[in-house]
Amino acid sequence: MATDGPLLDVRGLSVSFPAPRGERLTVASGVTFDVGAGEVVGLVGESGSGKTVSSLAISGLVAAQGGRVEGSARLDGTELVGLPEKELRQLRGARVSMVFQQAIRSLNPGLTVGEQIAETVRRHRQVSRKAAWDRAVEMLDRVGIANPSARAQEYPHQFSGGMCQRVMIAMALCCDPRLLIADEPTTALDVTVQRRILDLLLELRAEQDIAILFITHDLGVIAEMCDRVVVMYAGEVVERGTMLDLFRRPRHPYTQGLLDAIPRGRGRRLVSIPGTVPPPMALPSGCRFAARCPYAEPGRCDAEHPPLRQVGDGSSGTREARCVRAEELELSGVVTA
Amino acid sequence: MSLLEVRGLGKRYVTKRSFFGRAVDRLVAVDDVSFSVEAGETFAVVGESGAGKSTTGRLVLRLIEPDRGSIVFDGTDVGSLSRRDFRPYRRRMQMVFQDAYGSLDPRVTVHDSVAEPLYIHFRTGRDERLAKAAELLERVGLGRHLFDRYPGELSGGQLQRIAIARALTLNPSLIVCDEPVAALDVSIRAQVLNLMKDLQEQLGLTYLFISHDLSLVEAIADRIAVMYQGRIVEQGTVEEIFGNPRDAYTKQLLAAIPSPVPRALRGSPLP
Amino acid sequence: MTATIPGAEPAAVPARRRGELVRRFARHRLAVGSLLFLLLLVLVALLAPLLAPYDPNAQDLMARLRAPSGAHWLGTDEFGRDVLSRVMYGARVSMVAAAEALIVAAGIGAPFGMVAGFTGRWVDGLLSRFFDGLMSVPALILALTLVAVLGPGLTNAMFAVGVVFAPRYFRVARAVTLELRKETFIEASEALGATGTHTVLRHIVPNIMSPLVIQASVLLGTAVTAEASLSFLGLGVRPPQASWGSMLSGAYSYAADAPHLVYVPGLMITLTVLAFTLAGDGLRGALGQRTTVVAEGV
Repeated sequence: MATDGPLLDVRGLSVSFPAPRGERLTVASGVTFDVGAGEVVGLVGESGSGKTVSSLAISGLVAAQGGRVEGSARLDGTELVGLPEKELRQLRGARVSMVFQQAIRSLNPGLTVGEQIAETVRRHRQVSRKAAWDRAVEMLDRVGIANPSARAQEYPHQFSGGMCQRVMIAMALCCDPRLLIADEPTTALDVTVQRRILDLLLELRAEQDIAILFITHDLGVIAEMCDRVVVMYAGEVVERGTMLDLFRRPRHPYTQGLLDAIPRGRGRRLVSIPGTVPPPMALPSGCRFAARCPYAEPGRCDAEHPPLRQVGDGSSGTREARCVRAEELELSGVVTA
Repeated sequence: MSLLEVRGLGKRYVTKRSFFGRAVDRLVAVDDVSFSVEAGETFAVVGESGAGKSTTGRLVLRLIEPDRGSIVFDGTDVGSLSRRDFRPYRRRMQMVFQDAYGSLDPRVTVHDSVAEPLYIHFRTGRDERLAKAAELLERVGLGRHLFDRYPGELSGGQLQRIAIARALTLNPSLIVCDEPVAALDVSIRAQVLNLMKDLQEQLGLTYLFISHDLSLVEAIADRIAVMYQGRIVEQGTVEEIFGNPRDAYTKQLLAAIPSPVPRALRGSPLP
Repeated sequence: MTATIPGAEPAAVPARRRGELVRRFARHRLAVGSLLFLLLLVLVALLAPLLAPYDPNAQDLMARLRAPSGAHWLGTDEFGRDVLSRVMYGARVSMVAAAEALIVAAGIGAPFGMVAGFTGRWVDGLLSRFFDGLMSVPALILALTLVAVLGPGLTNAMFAVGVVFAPRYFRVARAVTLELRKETFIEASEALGATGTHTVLRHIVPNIMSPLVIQASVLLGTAVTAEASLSFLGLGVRPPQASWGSMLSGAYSYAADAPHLVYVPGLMITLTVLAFTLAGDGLRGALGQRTTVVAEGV
């Protein structure tokens, strides 16, 4: 981890969208976390948790849809919130890149994959066409595409889902960004393909010292990939800490619920979280998870909105949870004797 | 006797025709698939995309007509019946789809949707239909205030409950479940699976459960068939498949599942 | 003539309450204005006998080709008939004629389109070829031929116009049904054991209504033009009955002396066609359809 502050430092980030009748709908509020250089941080949550919108806000992609971003997100000291679109565009692809779930939709069907990667290279670097093309072929080779110089001349539809995702990763990494934001990059893929993509990301991270913000709903993927984890629920961070701490002993009942909901072995009844995520227009005034929480105490949990606060001794990095009962609860992690 | 017995099921699609309409290239979707499902059990068909597992489920229900093979349901060779004679068997063989929202008509209230099968098969009167539907909707845990909603106004978990209620309307024996929870959030997924398990125990249902998710299948299935490129490469009980997989592809598939137990913590008791 | 196929996607979420639909429609100012204009037109058409200041067919040869005045607000025509009264009665003819063409077109096109889209295979091939053939015949020639066979008269003329428009309805209904056929709820209906008839009536028909209604607004506008064209050519209403087309036809020879005879029916035709198109656009917006339909003349 870098000594002079984290690579990405997100503080109090809020995202709101215009709603009918002139109101604004806040879909993420006070999101705070950081990613150190070369670190893999997992951003976990279900649909509606605000995980994707937070990541889009960081790369300046919510303004187009009428979204308003408040708070701060610094990349290597550069404030990203409020940065003019032109400068953001310079940044995207060069210092921060993104890969999405639907790789095939992120590619232009009318251009060969080599042309698309080369174009990205030329947008950020003053190099010749030849050099850009060579770089594209080199990147395709690096992401494990066999016979890269021939495949570079093919079109996206000639690639399978997994291969498309490799192309996207090649394109994302062609200008050596410091941070890769990967939003559910393997969700649409088969498990055996997912395994190869995850291994590839870990390899590239080791080779290029790139930091990854890995957004997923799959705790299995988190366990395999991440150094630290940020858990989001109903638009806010409810827990964060190192992956091992969090899986060994969660400090927020929602995290425990997510861990319990993963099927683990035969005969065990799945533990479900009752109810559903409250929609952003009907958030309770107290703890947002209280209505679904087996440990909720009337009068305490629904009284006021709990802050995200330091819990435990914090011996292995920051350990925070948004639960008034964090210290008194004995929550169980994935490993049981 | 098994409730469902499938022998040598096959389906090929013509992907290219010559100028004169002769088939010159075919895609084998399902090839010589045989298995049997006992009454009351959950039989899972697992595999990756393109393995032919969804096609298999649809062939069993004759939503796609098989090219070859036999489908024996409760002692009757339903595969050889005419479509008209097959219709009464549809009451006993139902389906739950992955896309619960898409499986419901967006212009019909969920209450009417669940009542519809009774009209289709028995021309049951509206009041009686709705009463039965209300009973089922309550059984799957849907609040009465949601009965008159349209599919677009409900969440994924609620919609899948409704789709299950709809499949139950005709008191079926077999339900083909095609990835019923794949589109749901983790916390909702467990709710729906537990509901399905409870209904199975209460009503003696048999599930043909199609899934790509091995850890899920391990938790809920009795027996498993692993499909790869249109064929079943291995089948057996959950213990056999997970404890002692013999086929190379099955082994590869099992090794690829991301484990929720971090590597550093595996095998170690809670400190 | 080019085919126009409105948004083949069925609206994802139905407007739950009628109020919602109205509210969304109301956002389109022009569409609301157009709808009010059309309602006014229908009202005038219905109440023509009460509202018209004169008998539309009463000739006054002493007052021929008069310019608009206090006695005759819109002047008189070549036989001294009151233009305002004739425009009012003409609205009746135009509305009834347009409705007839619509009913014939939708009645032939929509059911066959649904059957073709739902059944597929050779049925679709046969029907599609038939309607494509019908469409490839120039519309006016087809209408003229039909009128020649059926005999002149407005009813026959508008039946012919309906037949000419049927292929468009066929195409829209077929395209939307084909899209719907891929929806899971159609497959689910089959899995429940529903017959094809049940699936079509219960699940296809309600879901293709929006595009068909939108198509109707376009067709109504075009039918008004068609009535005018045919009457202009002397194939529609018979003298002395008034229709906008026949008024225009009669005014043709006097355009230099009495331009108001051209302007009044011409303006009515233009405004009505425009109103139908704009109201259709508003409806499309309210129903959540995307593709724009272009109105065309015959």
